Amino acid sequence: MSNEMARLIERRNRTKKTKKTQIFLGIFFLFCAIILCAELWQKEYRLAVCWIFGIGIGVVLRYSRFCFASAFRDPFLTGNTRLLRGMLLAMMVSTIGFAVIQYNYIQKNTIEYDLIPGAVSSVGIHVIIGAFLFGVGMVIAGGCSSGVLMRIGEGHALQWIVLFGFLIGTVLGAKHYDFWYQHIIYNAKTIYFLEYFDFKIVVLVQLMVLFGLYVLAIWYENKYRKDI
Amino acid sequence: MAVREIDCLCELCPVPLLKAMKELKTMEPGDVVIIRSDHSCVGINIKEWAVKNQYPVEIVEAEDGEWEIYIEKIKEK
Repeated sequence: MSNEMARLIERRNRTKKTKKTQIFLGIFFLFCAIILCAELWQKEYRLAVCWIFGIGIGVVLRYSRFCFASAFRDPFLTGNTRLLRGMLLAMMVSTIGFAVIQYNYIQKNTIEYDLIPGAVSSVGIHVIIGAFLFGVGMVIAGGCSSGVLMRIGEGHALQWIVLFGFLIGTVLGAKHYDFWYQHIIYNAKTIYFLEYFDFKIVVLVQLMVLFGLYVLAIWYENKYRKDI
Repeated sequence: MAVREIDCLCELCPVPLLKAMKELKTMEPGDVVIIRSDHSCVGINIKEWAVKNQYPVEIVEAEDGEWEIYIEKIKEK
């Protein structure tokens, strides 16, 4: 850094307004959250657990700036794949976790798609259409569903409008679900790997595919990093 | 040395970085660009990109929820 820039920043720092302290507000809200948690615990302990996990996930999202929109957008715009790699790692972790949960479930019960923990649903062209629509909306709105909620908490006014649009879209989707179901989803086949292969093979192959994508992301970043 | 300012208030995440890239292309070595933004991830986003491309970069939180990002164009590599 040159002296010029250091001087600019120094001058800017001197003209900064003193910020209001927000510690007391924070303590107040923490107190509210703890009281609510205790209330929920007496009524139904599951709700309290959900409340704690929800706040925890929110805090992690806020501080890690983990934004799904930018995870998929940045590789194309700037060649930065850090968030994409983070997401692949998260998928690896969840693969192992869900494998254990579903394996235990299948040992005890028969295979019934609607009851298996985790979402087992049919695959077909409707997934592609939905994913494309969601991707377009996500980049324009500047955040995925979790990112929008996190930014509302941070105080961005724009994301309120996005949330409103989100609600409208969800209602419309629920209203027209029958049309999609009759035309596409009804004919689509549900594929559940554990029916066809041994449980260990499935987990290993999925981990290897994800790891391959991870290596590919590193290679892509080194090759296509946009420099001026 | 010239100082350029880009006003990116109310701009969403990818826009400020793209504007900064565009601006840096037309700048002389030694110039400084100041990007004003109120989007929390813009600072981190730009800083990461600038560090990777070896530009000196500094983030100043001017007010609550408003950041100023200083990037300097160094001598031609």
